[in-house]
Amino acid sequence: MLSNSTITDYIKLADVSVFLGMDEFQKKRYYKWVDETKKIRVLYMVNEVVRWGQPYLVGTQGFDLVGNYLYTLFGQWILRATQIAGTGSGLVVGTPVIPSTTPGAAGTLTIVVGSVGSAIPANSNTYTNVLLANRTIIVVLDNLVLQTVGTPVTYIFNNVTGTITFSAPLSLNQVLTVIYI
Amino acid sequence: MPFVANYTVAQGLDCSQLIITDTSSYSTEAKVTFTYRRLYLYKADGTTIKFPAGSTTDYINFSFAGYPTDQITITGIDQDYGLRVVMELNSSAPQPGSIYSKSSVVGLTCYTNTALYGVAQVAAVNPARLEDPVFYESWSELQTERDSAVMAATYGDQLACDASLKRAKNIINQSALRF
Repeated sequence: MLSNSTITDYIKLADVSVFLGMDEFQKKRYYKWVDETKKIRVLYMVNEVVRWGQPYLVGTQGFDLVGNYLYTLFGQWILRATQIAGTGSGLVVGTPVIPSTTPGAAGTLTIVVGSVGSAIPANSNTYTNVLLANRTIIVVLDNLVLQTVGTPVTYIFNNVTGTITFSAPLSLNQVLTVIYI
Repeated sequence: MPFVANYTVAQGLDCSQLIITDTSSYSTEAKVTFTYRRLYLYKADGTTIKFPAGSTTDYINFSFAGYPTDQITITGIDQDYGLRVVMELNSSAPQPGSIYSKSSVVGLTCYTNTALYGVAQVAAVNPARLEDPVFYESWSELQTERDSAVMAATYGDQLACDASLKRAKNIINQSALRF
């Protein structure tokens, strides 16, 4: 039987996966790759059902069936979703930064270190942008998703000021991508 | 401090029931000063839900004596509705600045949600059903109607809320064909 806390985790993961799925869909649509709208739509609908049934139906056979189906639907995003949702069993150990309010639409920032007009000079190890305040972020450096621990370069994020402090200075022409939610 | 009428509306798993809780603070004006507390549950067509069954009044008598816990469970809800819920209190000693009535639009979506749960179970047992366009489109339409009803209620649009729920009911009524 799926426990109440497991269902809560599933709902969080599915919430994030819907966002991640839509993000991927936008890219695939741009490049005219496969259309996955149906899968994302089904993920949303099953998640809504689970959200509705959680207070009443946890522990029943039928609800387990739907809960497990939900798990299979967000499976392809589970690693990143776990990292963002902070369910405690993913790539990030500890409590991730969860915004107290939803400040607005999600977005992406891309900065080339040291380029003309760049917000990050070469050999700098900080980046501040007020857009990131009160956000949850994913930090990618040269296609490597950085973690707060365990990656060659790690970072600390101050979600009040929107400042990311890296463990090492960034080099000229490194590409920093920050996805904020 | 002035008195401000307030309440919450909830539905559980039993779709035929509606639970309304008076959450007004009676520390500013004691219950004994009120001569009555009434509820009106207006449907979109202007008629009211009668409770208890057989009642001839438009209002539901949510009296302090009859409901000392300030909670009433209204039974006999036969389908989802976009309702305008009004709670009205009458004070024998009205205080300046007080608000003795509250009105809000509430979308009852329990029957629709239950149907969506049933459809999700069908898909969970047999995911290949998603390849059936009638199944998938019907599920998606039903979800859209539920979401629209919730959103319309949030914005206080009772007619749009109720219209969505009626369309949802039509889809549910055709379950044998669609799902």
